Amino acid sequence: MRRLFLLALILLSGCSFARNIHRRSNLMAYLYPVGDVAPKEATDVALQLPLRLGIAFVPADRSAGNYYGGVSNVAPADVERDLLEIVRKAFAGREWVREIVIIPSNYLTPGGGFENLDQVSRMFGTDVIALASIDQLQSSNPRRMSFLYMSIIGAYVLPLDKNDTRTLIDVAVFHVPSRTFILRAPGQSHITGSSTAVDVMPTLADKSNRGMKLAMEDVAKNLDEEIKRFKASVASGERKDVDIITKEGKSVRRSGSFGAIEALVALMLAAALLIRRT
Amino acid sequence: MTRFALSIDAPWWEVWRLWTGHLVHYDLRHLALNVIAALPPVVAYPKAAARAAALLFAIAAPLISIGILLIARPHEYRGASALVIALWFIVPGRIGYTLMALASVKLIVETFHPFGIALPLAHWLGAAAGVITARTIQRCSPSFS
Repeated sequence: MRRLFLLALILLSGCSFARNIHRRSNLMAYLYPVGDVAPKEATDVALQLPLRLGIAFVPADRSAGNYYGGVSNVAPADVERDLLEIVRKAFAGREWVREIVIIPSNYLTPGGGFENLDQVSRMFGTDVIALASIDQLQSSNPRRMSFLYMSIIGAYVLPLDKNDTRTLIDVAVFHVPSRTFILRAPGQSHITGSSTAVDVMPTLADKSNRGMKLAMEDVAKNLDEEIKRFKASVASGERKDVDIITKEGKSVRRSGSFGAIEALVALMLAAALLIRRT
Repeated sequence: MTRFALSIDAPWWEVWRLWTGHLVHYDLRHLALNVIAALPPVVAYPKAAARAAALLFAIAAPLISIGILLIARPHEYRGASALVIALWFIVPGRIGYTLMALASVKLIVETFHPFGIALPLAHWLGAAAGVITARTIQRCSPSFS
């Protein structure tokens, strides 16, 4: 009887517990490893259009090593390529783009800093590189009815695990030779859903990829806006450290509409007129 | 981007940008330089300059804007400089010739200096608007002052 009871207990027991998965790559940890100081602000950076732009994912944060076990990518290589392809397609054909080069993240060494970025920049022939970092948090929690998993079959057929996937992708664009930060654009997504107990991990993996895809599409949209804003800030003189040189070799910087000389002459003329009147 | 600046990306129904693009500026310095540049005509002929400015703003401003949008296709354009140039070309007499000479030098320098296309184009359109308005004023009201 006692053996029978134990057997029944084993058969009826279902496993159901909360899970959290955190995927993270840190741009600052990559560019400025411990002890490295930020470079001085560069001036007179000229971006010659059309640009040959490199785009890559920042390698995973070393501090997340317990989870990743030494793997340097946050997403599998094929997923990374598909995600970067979204940005590449969104900007292909723009007049300011000559080519967008996808750089596999295994060319980037974790904590490699600008030295590593310099090497990659030279290797791929791209002075401007966009670095995408990911912060994704996934959680899976059993619902109240998950005691039904105890029927064993329930664990296979009842979707009683509630899951939640929040993704933030941030793309920062740098002019590598001068180490100048050009602009950044974020993208985010939030996916919720349910799964059976046995399908929790495959479902989370699938939602991780979908969350990254949606966030990357959001990045492409925001990046377009940020580029327009960046161009306007250079043209207005708000960004004094960077200039954009058009295909025709002309700067987009505004001259101030009326320069100091014209304004001075106008002021003197107005003053002379006022004095003559009085 | 402000909803008042001139922009090729703006939806067609935001037509007010054709006028307001000439009123909004990038910063205080930009505004101050344009205001200073407008001083000579205003000081020389206060009433006539105000009338001419109103005429320019009502009719020339949207035409200049359309020209800028069609040719330069800027993501963002702000400033009253084109209208001020137009005003310079309207002023009669010695002051007018002085301003016209100054504007001409400015236009030539800007055209050959790498300032992009929007700014010189706006100033050339402003100069053309000024010449046309001056001739119209001469016909309708010969005594500008």
